[in-house]
Amino acid sequence: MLTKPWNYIVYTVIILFIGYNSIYIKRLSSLTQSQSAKFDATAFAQNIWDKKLPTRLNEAVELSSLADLLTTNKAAAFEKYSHAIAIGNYRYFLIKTSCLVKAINENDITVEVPLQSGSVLAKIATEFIYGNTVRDAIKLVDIKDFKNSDDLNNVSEAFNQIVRKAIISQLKTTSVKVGSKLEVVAAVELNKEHIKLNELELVPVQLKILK
Amino acid sequence: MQKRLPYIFLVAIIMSFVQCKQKDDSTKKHTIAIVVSTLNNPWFVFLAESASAKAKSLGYEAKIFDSQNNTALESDHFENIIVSGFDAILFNSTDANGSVSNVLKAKAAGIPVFCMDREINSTEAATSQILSDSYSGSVSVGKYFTEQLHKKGKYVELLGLVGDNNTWARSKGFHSVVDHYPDLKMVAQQSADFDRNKAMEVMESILQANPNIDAVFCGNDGMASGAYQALVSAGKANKVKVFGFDGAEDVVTSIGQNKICATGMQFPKVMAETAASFADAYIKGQRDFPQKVPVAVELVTAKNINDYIAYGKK
Repeated sequence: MLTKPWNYIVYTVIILFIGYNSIYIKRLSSLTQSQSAKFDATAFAQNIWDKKLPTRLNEAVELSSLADLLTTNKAAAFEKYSHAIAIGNYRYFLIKTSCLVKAINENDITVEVPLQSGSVLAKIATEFIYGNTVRDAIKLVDIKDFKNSDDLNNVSEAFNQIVRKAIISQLKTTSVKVGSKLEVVAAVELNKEHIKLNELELVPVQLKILK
Repeated sequence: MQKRLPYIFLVAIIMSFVQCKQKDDSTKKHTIAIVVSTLNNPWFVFLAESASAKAKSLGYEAKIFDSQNNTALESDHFENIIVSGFDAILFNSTDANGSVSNVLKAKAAGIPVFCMDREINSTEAATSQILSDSYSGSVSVGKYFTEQLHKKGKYVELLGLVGDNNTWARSKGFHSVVDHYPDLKMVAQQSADFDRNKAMEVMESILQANPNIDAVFCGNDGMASGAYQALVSAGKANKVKVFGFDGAEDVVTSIGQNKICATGMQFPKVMAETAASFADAYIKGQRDFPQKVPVAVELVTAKNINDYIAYGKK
């Protein structure tokens, strides 16, 4: 049996031990820094753009084939070629096409896109590069990797920023004019309940001026 | 033997009760609670009724609880739901932070919670959160807003409840576009709590200080209707473009009449039905759910108004 002073000493040591291991003191600023440093959307998007996208570009569907399939078997076209992170009617496709410049406008370039029968006018966006079109069409981002919606939204913005810098700025400085022929790989949004092939807006992810 | 007969008889009676209870358990219907922030707003009534209808179609009993935008009342509902032994909760929260403790209580009691439309600020509490992609929807509205204003002009922003994540997701999405254009100047940004009457009052007072504005972006359609009413009273309805978010009936009608410029159409039925289906899958044994499931928001303008009716029901 321990004597009274020893009892006090043992209890004090136990309380100090538990107390010391129960409380951690950190600077709030260090926590904020570590949280914000957790995910770098720009680096994440750039890494995908540089390392994974080149292979994925080869899988882009020819726009004329897609348009044909959309009219003959809409469900198969969406099943095989579209992707979207969100549930809903908006679906995204990665398409490729050769097209002819018909007009250069303030916010876009009007192009004539050949289809299997005839052609259709579409717009290549040059100003309003926003939203999830690129992120979802390239099909290289998995929602299960993201618990935080802000991170997912920032990835969209990071891809859009890359498009503005890498594609649009180059397009604006080159001599694209009416009559130029372009070869484009682009992200396209379609509403599966209301498909409007005559209102296509192409967000370019690769663009070559042929002549 | 004769002495034992009463005991045997007693045991037989007890066994028959046990048998009855077991039979009763096997036929007992599972129950799903639907807790919504308010039933004063028709949008949330539609959300709750869609969830209830889907739960019933899946074979469950469903009960709707109205939190009346009051976190304390919401907490009482959760206590009752836990005591009553509901099997799952389909939840539309009153407060992104304040509701977390309620969800954690349900989790501790073994009741899964599936959030609908409104996010809570924890990724460890709810089993899954099925949410309108408010940010992306507002990006679409912001893009259309900028096009309609030709990248310049003065505008007002009416925010929703400051404690609700949707308020800030919509504001951030909108600003992620319009802030690229320095000639678009925000002259006032004020909360009107997602409330039509409050929006009308706030807008009236903003118009006194800023009579020459070109547009108003509102975080929901109730506020868009209130702001439009204030503009009508001030005789400026034809000059100022109003943009909303939700896809509520009166705003969809107003877009068709060229009174309101655009809205972001949400799909409460899709969110409610997805939440009910997830609850059904959970009760049947599934445990792997994505923490956040975004539901796309569609831009509705005068150009495509014929494709839509209120709440995306079409």
